[in-house]
Amino acid sequence: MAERTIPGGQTEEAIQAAPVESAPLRLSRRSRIEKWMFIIPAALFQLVWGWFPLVFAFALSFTDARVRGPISFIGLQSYTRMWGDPLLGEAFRVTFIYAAMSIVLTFVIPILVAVLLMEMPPRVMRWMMLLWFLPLSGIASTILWKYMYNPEYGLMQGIVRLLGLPEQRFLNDPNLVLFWLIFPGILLFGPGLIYMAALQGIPSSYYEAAEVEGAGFWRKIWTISLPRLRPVISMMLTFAIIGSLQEFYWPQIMSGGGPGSASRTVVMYLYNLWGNLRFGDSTTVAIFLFAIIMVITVIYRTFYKEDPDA
Amino acid sequence: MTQIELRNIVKQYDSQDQVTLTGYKGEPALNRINLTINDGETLSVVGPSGCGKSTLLKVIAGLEYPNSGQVIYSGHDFTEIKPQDRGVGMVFQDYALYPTRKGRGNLSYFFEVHQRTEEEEQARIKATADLMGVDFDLLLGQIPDTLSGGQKQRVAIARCIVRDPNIFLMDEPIVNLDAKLRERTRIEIKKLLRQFGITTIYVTHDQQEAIFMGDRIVVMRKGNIEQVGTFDDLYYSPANLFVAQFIGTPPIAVIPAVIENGQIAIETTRWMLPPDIALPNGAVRVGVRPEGWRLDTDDGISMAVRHIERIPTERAAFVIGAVAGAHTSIVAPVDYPMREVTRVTPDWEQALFFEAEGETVLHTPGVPDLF
Amino acid sequence: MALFPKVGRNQPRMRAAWWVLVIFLCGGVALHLFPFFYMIALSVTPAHEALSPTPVIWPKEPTLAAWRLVFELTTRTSMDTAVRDLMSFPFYVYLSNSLFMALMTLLISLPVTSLAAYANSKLQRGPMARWSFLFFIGTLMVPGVVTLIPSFLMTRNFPFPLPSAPLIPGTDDPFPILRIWDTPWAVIIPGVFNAFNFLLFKGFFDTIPDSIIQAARVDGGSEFNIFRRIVFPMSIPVYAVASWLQFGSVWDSYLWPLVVFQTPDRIPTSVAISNLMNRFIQAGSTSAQQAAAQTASMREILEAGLSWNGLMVLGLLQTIPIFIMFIICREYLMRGIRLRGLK
Repeated sequence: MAERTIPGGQTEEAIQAAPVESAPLRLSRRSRIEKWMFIIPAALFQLVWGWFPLVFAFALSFTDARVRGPISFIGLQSYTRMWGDPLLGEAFRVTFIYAAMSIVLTFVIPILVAVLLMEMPPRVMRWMMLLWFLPLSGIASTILWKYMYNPEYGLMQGIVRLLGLPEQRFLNDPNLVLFWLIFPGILLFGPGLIYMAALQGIPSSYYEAAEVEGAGFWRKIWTISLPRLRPVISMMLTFAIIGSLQEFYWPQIMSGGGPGSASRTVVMYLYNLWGNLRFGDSTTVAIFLFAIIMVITVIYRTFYKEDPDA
Repeated sequence: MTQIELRNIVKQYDSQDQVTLTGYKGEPALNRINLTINDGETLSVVGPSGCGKSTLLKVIAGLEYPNSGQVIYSGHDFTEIKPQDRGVGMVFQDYALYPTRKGRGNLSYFFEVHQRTEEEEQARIKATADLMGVDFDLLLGQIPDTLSGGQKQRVAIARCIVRDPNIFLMDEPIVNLDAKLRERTRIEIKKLLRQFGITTIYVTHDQQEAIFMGDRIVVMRKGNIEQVGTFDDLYYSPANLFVAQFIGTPPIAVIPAVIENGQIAIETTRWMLPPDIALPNGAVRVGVRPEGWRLDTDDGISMAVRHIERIPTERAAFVIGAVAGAHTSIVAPVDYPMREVTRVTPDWEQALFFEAEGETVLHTPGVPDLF
Repeated sequence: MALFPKVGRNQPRMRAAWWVLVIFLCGGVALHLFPFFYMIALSVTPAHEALSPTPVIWPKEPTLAAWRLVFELTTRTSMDTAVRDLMSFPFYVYLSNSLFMALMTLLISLPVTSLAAYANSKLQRGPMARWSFLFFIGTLMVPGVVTLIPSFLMTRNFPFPLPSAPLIPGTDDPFPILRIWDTPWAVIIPGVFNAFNFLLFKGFFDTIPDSIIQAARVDGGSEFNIFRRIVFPMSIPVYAVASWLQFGSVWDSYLWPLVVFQTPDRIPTSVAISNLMNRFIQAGSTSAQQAAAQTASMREILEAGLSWNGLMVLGLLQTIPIFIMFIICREYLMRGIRLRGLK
């Protein structure tokens, strides 16, 4: 290495020895703190409202915290108490059925719709997209569906009668209440937009190449569209799992958890405990749920890699 | 005017796949680089992709700060100085025009952030437009998305010179243009550089471009500088096998051979070596450039011809095939007839000799005396 | 335009398949638009007809009575005390609460979240970037209910997630606390950093070539100036998407406002409307027979023409701002979403 030619005929050592002045002071130096100015506000909020409550949730579940009075450490008492609670077991059963049904019934359709919408000529696609993804407020749709599900005068009963089927009790039917809660979600395609944005990024040359290979309609979806959507699908599925396991709003508003406890999800149960000011117990339930979600997510992520190459 | 000196520059990659949660993996992008760029010269940097040539440029520009080492501008330590105060003008491979600003806006951003007067801005933009040619004013009124590749490139160069920089840094500025435009732009840039006489570093992966643009050429590989010199230095006395193979199209043929008492043998064919090439006995490899062969010789080794690539515009042809299993290209007259096998002899005066294993050079012909 | 072959589109089979697809999509659009139509139809249905056993598709005698009544309800000009008592405050109070919270959240959250995402995407390098990415999106995997209670307690006794502030050691005085509970800030502050939007912004900023930012650095902008003058104008689409999503989620949020508000005139529309619906249902004015048996005041309400039709009007009012946001942002929606997975 000592033989390496250095421009100007100097040796490496000679160059190292040459004196160097520091740069004039008026020139601005590299700033190592500048980027922190971008990050610190968000980091503070994330720390205080994101991580701190999470850590504290764990701590709280080991106590008998109530609205007033001293808090004492009770170890795993909440855990053992809630573990043996038959109502909680029932709530978990309802939650799992609800989550499984809602993912099966609502997850695939937006992907398919997005793939098919991309087939339309651009102008038509833009219009259809606009109409299709027109958002309806969640509150508004609860009002509407509450009315539609009315067993006496609701539209759904009318449709049932029109089809000559036996009369339904809808939200009062303990066996089907979960299905009826999910049913409105089948008609909503909000996430389709995210898939469409991802589909847009697929170069058309991929499809042309597949065409040359003789791939047909479904084959192109299967070998090009879906693999390219894989990271997005994976992420959306993660969110869908997490979201459906902590369903609260729809059952609370639509059926109030009933009839009986047929539609009482874990989060509703937790909310009731909280209403009874049993903070420790309800945090414990939340942590049970968190643990289950983590296990499911980890299992599913090991089997369904975001990036097939990784 | 500026002279630039790099001392012991080390720079780690920090792209996603090179970073772990605890540190870096893989080789550094720049591994103890030492280099001096003289005032007013144009230095070309070539190397295969991933050799660190773009990183080198960014370290000089101040866009990347080295993990260790010094960047010295005219005797001052500029290692920690921000790019804005280094007085550099840079042209990027993808032009990097600001997509939401029109051509003029792209040029004026520099003046806006440097709190220069409106008059100065107008004057400089006008002077630059004059320099860039007659129809350049038209480009100033357009959004980059509506410009063609060549037009974008001109705006990018204008943005680079509008600030009157001390150093030009060019990162493969013409690689995205089509062949014809590339040829023309290359000449235009060269003309501009000569007009300004500014220190320039020109990074490219194309050796033709490097030869054309650079007063001197730097060959890089895997974060190391392999050799610095003029084209003739690199071509006739490469520092190692890599440089020999990298410089020259078609590439040099590298053929295993054995030296025995002044004789050289490739497979079973033997020749006498010229007396001025004194090499110890043993296995070597011979490097022969396409023009370093004699065709149809009596004492030649047989060459299996694969095909003949004729280049009528150059009145020449390349006979491409294999000698002793090594890929070989040989310059021939344009009407050289096709045949299955031909006999060829290296011109030993022009041949290069390498170790049988490794990359060390044993003998080079040196730069020929043309005059 | 990619799944159907470019050549041979005119073959009968291809044409048929194409039209099947078109009909399928149009059917889907119609199905999706039906709720909008039906809400409008119901809002102009007379109260009694809405409760008749034959389902209404379009009323026999459309009437704007419900709109008028809700208008009176919102402005509290109604002379009818029973109607007036349905909502303890004029509707515009709730509307302005909701708007204040949603817009304030956007105003604070978008800059904070996007600046961090930008720094993580373009300024931070090496291991630090990986760590802060995990720090920012780590909470995305945590179900909201886990932190619900500590967050709720924190709104009461900031910064202590405890039912009451602890005492300063050695004294009988509790630590000073900040109570944002029962104020709009209890909704705004916890929503300032939005991990999903962070992901959205980061995904978008990742697609901006580094060279553009490097060119701007050579030109001499400070990092903030580069963000404001170069990056922000390029990123309008992602801001549109993020504001649409966040506006929708704050506007429609129900559980959190339900727990952090106590004073009736501070609640947002979502809670107010749900409360009203519950009172309707409990009071029985949603069923003709029940209503008849109900208190005089409820009969009065029904007489005044208010039943489900009024709720539909409120539902439509609740939808309008979301609708407006969608129309404003629609141009950018497709261009703004560049999610890239969680890695």
